Amino acid sequence: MRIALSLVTAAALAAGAAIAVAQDNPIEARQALMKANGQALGQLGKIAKGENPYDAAVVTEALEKLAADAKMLDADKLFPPGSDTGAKNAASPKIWEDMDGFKAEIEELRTVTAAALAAAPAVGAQVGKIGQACTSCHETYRLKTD
Amino acid sequence: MFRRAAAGIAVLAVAAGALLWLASAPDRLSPAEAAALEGGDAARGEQVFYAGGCSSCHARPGAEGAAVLELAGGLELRTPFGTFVAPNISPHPEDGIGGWSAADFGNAMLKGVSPGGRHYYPAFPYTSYARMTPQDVADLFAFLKTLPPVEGETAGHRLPFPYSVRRGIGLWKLVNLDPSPVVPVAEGESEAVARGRYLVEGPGHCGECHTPRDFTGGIDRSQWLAGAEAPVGDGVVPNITSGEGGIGSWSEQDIAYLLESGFTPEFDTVGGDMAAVQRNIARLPAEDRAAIAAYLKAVPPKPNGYEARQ
Repeated sequence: MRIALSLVTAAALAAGAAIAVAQDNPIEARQALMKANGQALGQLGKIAKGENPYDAAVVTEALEKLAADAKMLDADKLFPPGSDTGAKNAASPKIWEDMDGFKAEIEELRTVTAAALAAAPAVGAQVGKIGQACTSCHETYRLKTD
Repeated sequence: MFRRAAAGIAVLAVAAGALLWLASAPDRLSPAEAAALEGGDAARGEQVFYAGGCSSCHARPGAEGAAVLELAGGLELRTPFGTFVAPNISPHPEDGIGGWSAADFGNAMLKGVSPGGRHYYPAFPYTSYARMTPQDVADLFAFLKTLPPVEGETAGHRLPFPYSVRRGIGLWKLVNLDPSPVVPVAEGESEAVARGRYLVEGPGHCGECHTPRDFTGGIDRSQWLAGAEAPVGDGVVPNITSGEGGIGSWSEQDIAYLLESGFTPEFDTVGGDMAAVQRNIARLPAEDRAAIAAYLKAVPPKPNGYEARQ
């Protein structure tokens, strides 16, 4: 009981820390989130490509991670006004010119990752669908800067 | 004496003007070259259409799905030279290219000259298309004829002087329109490298964005595919040579997989204008993507062709 409680507390603290980081430095926070997305997607992609052997547990874990990350992708917290500058900032000014369109892309990612998780541990077609959601947003709202 | 000198200068000025006028004259296909463009195969032309990515500029901005085959034009390219507007190239008889002959189309693609004998601005990348085979040009024309005609002429380009003087493009072409291969043909090179060269340097026109431009606005061949400031909009276009900052760590399979799926080896995805390019290249046969990969590995490695951001 006590252990469970402390786990809950720890989780709450971790979530609180993540939000604090987001408020403190939204650019770093969103970049860390994107990197984590790429890693999770990479685990799926390497299986889909045949580079790694199929492992249901790995697939399910990666899909859970992607669905959870998509929920954490909060445009108001991670892309607040004024967070469009900085050396390695890949966020296009179009995000703030069309915040509704940007949020619609995030919503699409949430829908696609939730559907992929529901179909777990299937992997093949899911990778392509998630990739399309990534590209759809990157096409309009991301700049290449390095 | 003075009068004679003045007359001499006037004669020289007229002569120089006449030379410039002659030098800037539109150069067109010979009758034999034009005749070779008749009777294209539309089914083959569909592949050329995707290799060239015509819809990226000539579809309506933001078009998706089947609408990318309606080549109504209208996309605005905001460049340092002014704003270019992609024209309607649907087969509409008045507003598009429905009234064109195969020779008209060939002169546009290979010489950058309109049916009325005017130079096209090189925002239309005929500097790359000039390397295309007559067969591919003929097939592409046949395919374009099968697409839906769309009504509506697009607005004109908005360019400041001196770029508003079309005749000047004739001089620009003397310097920058060179259909010779950028990466020299090596003895004993594979068929894949040769095919990749054709796709990348010709219809694919990859160098138009991935290569820095010199002060004339022409491609800097010494930094071929080394990456560049985006010619339109913000950001950079990546270095796709094997030099520092480029894709030297990628295998040929990695390059082909990016073109097929949109994923980098780190499972980031393509973005910006490359998203549409990748969707098009994904429709080509797998051997063509492998050929592009083989060619990119044969391109001389260069460090990034753009300056790092501060």
